[in-house]
Amino acid sequence: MTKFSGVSAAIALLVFAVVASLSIGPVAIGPTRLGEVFNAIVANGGRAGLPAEFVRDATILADIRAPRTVLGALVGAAMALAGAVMQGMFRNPLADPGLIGVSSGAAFAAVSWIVLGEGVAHLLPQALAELGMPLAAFAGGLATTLLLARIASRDGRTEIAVMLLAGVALGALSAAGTGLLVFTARDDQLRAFLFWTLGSLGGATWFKIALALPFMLALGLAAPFLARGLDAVALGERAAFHVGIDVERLKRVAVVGVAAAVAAAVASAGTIGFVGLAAPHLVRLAIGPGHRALLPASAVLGAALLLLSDVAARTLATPAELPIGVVTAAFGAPFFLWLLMRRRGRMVG
Amino acid sequence: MSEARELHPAAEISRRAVLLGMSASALALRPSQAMAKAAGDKIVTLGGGVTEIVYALGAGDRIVAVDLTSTYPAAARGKPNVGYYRRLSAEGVLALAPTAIVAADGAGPKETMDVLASAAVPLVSLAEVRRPGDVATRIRAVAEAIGEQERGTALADAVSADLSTLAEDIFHIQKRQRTLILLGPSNGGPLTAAGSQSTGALALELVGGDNVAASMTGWKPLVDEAVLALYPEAVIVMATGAPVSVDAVARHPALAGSAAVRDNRVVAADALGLVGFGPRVAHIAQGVAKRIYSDQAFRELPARPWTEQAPPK
Amino acid sequence: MSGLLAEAVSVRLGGRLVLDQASVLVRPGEVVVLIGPNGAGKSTLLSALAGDVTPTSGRVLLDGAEVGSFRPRALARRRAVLAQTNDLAFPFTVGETARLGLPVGIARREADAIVARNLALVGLGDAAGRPCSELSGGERQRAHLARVMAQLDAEPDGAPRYLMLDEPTANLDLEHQLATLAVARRHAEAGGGVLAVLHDVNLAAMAADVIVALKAGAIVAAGAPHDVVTDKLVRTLYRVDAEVRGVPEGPFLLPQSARSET
Repeated sequence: MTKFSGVSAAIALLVFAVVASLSIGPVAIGPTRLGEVFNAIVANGGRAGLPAEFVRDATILADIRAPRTVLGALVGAAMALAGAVMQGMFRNPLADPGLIGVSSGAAFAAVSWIVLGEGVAHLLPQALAELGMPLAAFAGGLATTLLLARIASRDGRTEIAVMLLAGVALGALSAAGTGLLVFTARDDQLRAFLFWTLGSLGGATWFKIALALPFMLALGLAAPFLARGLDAVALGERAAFHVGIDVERLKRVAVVGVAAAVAAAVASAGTIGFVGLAAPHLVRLAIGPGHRALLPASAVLGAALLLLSDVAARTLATPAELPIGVVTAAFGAPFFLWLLMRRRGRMVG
Repeated sequence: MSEARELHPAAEISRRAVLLGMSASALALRPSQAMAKAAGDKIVTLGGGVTEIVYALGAGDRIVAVDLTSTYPAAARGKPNVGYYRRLSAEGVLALAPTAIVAADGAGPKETMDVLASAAVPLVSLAEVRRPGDVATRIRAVAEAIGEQERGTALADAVSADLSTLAEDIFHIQKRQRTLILLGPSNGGPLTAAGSQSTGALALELVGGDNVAASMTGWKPLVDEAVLALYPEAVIVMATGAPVSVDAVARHPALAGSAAVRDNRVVAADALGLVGFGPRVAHIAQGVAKRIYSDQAFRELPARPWTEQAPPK
Repeated sequence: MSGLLAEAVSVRLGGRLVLDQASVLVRPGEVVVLIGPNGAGKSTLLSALAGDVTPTSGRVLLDGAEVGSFRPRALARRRAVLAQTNDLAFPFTVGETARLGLPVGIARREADAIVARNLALVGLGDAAGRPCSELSGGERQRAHLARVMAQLDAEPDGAPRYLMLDEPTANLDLEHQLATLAVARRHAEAGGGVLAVLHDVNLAAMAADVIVALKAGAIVAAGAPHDVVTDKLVRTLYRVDAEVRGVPEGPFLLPQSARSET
């Protein structure tokens, strides 16, 4: 597949996923009805005073499905883009943002909030009352990564191997803290934490998107400037320096950018696995490892895959919602294994 | 004599030892007090509702330790704590040398309960509350376990009477509200609600709401738009620990356009008081019912000493 | 002043002095070859000249400016380095690999031309679409040589450019060993400077204008091949007692003539 047709296919899939996400749900509002409601809103010049027959569906579309679709696309894109950057940075096809401590730090902060945060919730401004846990998760994820980068840096150089090992140690420490809190948690707290770790796009609002967007966008805007550096790092850090890459700056930008984007993604939708690992691989299979095309195409594919997973998550068990992490893993993993067995030679160098 | 005691000959022996060792003044006690003495002064209560019952029976000062969920009355929070009642350590409980252990359903893990049951301490494991009538049964079982049968009967009768009063008032409601009962605030994610076969469903029965999520079982997260489609006319949010911001719940996208929010029928409910199925259950349930059916007349329930303390903040 | 100059460079790594007061000058138009036994400090000296390793003492000047004062991008326009081993973490094709040497901002058409030219230079003109992972070790080595040559080929600005090769012939058959050295020679003839580490004394003597011999971190001899490559030097460097002869032109070494090994 050429780069052009590969990227086009990913974009086509994303368009399909967006339409599916807007028109499939427990409430039957198909594409036709979608168009009717949209036209009614346009004809009415807004949602105020909309004819009664459209009110419910307009609410579902504008207040529930649209923000959910946007959040899903953003989270999927951020996860996949972060995965692609991490795999390039660590020169390891298995790398995912978890390696730099974001997920474990966010999980620890999330469970801390659930178990211990009851007393401090009232300190937040009214508008953020429900968002204490996401905010804690964001701060925890980002702080863990920055701490890790600090540990692994000396004389302005960041040792990737040290970072990996320190990440394992810090992850174990976070897991210990998480385990301790899980141990002292009540069943309702435990349930809240467990469902959070499995991920959900439920509760998406434009406000939540506005909070998360800047951090995801930052990585998206940095990506074009990272592409050539990541290509060169495939040769190793020294060779990358030889071809003119400021490797230390590349590492700093990549690590901080990924941490911010993933912390925002995890905070808004929980720790959704697999998209960040699988999307870059699928793209690499289709159009090769060059990051200039790989990064944007991974983001597009990640967005599409997460949206399609969410459509399944919200329809398979209605009115209950399947955790989206269950869907991404249950459908994604077997497909990925199949690919791995068929074409292993092309997936790892 | 309770079944639990018959199962524990060793406990019987220790009880005799206590009886033999009693002073002359102790021998002058009325029979029920003698029984109470027999259960000993070192009771461990496992489960917030159980602790409440023991306090309501006037035996609070005989409790040596409670579990993590025992937050009412305030005095219970000052007692030594054996941890969360679903994840107990047998040694931690036995180290307190209790003379009686009263455990709510769900106390565990099973291995710990097996060890406790085989130790020389009377252990009473209570049955699950499945119907409103089970509340009184549970009170009587606790009373018997700690040797306070007389007071237990009185307490059970009083709570039953209050529940009946509430049930009769609810029976006269013309149209029941379609109600959603939430596990707590959403934390920015989806809402988690009670389906059928859950404590939440039973609580809804007490307050007279129709469970809109009855098609699923247990507590599960809901799809936002499915909540909208279920058209809840009232929402009950369980509050465990910290107070719940009803406004924040009302802003959730799944509820923002609902009749419940429009009619100001999003109600926070003290989870321990409502689904702990302790002696306060009728009063707490009526408080919620009054909010859901604001135009309905409810008969005032008699003031009860066990409901007088303000709920934990 | 043009030239790549190491001036009394010492490098201490992990407490050990791996390079001791080494001085080397690579002039444009010249091929300088470093020889010496394993662990003599050849690669460290090359790294110091490439700007990877900051000398503990002494300095490295690239056309008169401290090599450490260049930004990576500016340095990459002046020198290119072919490392001993070249691993690619992902399955890039041969063409993509060669392109890794090019900076961003080069017009696509020009980039394609540079890549094609340099792949042809190393005899991989028709392999551009093949994944590097499917190549033999020697072919892969040549693909990376093409990458390095493409780097020096891009954005010409008239200033001399330095080609640095760390054992470029290690995985190659005879034909490609000679071809690689011919590429280096042509680069020198075109006005660039070449610094190469070679193990094979014969190849070194054949390819070099200047041979620099290192032992235990210090330079023991430097000069034109027939002045430097002597029986005595071979004994000093490799503890091998062998005859150096001057047939057909320039010195050469017959390992078969070795009399004893210690």
